[in-house]
Amino acid sequence: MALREELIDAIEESGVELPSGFGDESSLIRSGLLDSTALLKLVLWVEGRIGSELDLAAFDLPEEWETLGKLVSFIERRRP
Amino acid sequence: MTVEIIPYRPELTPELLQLQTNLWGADIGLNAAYFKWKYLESPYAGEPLIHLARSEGRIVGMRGMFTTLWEAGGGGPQLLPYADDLVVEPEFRNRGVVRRLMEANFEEGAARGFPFCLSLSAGQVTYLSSLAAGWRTVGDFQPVGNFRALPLQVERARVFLDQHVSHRAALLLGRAVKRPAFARLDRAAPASPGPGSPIVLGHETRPEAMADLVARLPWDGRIRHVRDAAYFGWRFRNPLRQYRFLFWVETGGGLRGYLVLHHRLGESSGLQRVNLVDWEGTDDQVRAGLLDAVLRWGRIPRLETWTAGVPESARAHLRDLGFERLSPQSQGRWGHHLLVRRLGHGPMTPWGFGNRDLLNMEDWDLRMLYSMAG
Repeated sequence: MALREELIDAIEESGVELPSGFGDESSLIRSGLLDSTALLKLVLWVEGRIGSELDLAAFDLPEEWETLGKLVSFIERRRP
Repeated sequence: MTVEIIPYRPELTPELLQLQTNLWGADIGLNAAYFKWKYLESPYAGEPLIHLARSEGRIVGMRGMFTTLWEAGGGGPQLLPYADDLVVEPEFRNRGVVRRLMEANFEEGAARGFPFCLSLSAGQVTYLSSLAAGWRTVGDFQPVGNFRALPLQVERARVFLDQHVSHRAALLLGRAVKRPAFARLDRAAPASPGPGSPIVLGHETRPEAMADLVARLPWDGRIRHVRDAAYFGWRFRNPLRQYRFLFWVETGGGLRGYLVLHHRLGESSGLQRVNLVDWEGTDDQVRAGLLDAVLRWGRIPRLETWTAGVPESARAHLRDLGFERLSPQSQGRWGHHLLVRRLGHGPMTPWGFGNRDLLNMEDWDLRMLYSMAG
């Protein structure tokens, strides 16, 4: 399965109901879709994919995780 | 289910208190006292900066900010809102409610002219959602703890019973060994100075004497909360906490040092945890003497404090007495961080306060006292 589809699965499994028409440019953060515990679960999932812990102070989370497309790029840049 | 975000109004207080049984505690009366103390009785309290989430006439979420007063070298006292008390009912999570509550508070905070807000008590989940809402993390508080061997072994046995044998047996063991957190300290510490011992125990704050000591001590200009008599008079009336004070008394009644301990009321199981929330002295000997006295008289099973911003001499003394860095697992990996967020334009430069950098932990003189965790 491609990373993008795996990521969508992970977001849905974290308890988020993606709206119809959700796409690569749809907002995850500013829209509030990724809220509290869903964000926590997604951080852990991303860490599993990149194989290391994230330093959350070292990057701009609201900017770099704002859309599905950006989040895919974020993971691809850090994958071993 | 649509959710609307509304500003707090006094007539919504009963529903707010009910909602906060999810966070503050089960006792509505205590919650009411806590709300009043924190949002209405603080020396800096104005109109409460609270927003509520309401769905079908029911309050389902809250984010509050209460006002605090900070100072830094080169910058006069500055009121800043402290964000706290975030709670959303489970069925309304992951629907953008947290973000909308935060945004409403940010907008109102900016409209009231606050340049920044801060948080010193975000838990793991709040920490992450705060980063998503534009907060910046300054650093962690470097918590350390001192655990007495026997209570720790008993606690491990209780946890083992609970996980592998019987919840009831664990409860019984917990009840059998549970002692009030300050029982030993109250018995052993003197209430008045004796020959060769200037340290006394107090159950009440001494606002004027403590503020006078802080004013006499040198200050390097790092960012800190204003600790004046008004603050000391209010701060230790938190109805969800129990406090004890050790005072190093000078001849004539003034103070050479003080140390403040707090215990959260209502801890039902586990090691009775006490936090060392503030600690001052005219020199290293006074500070060390106060800490030694707490351990000697109190025999507290679990004593914790923060070391971010603490002088190296005090850190060394804590290490010598057996304080160890608390593991991220016990603290929650992302909890216990200082967070700041810009609200609008004010007298401070973008990330500065006076001549200090808000995003540099070295520029903060932090104490657990400043946090609602303490």
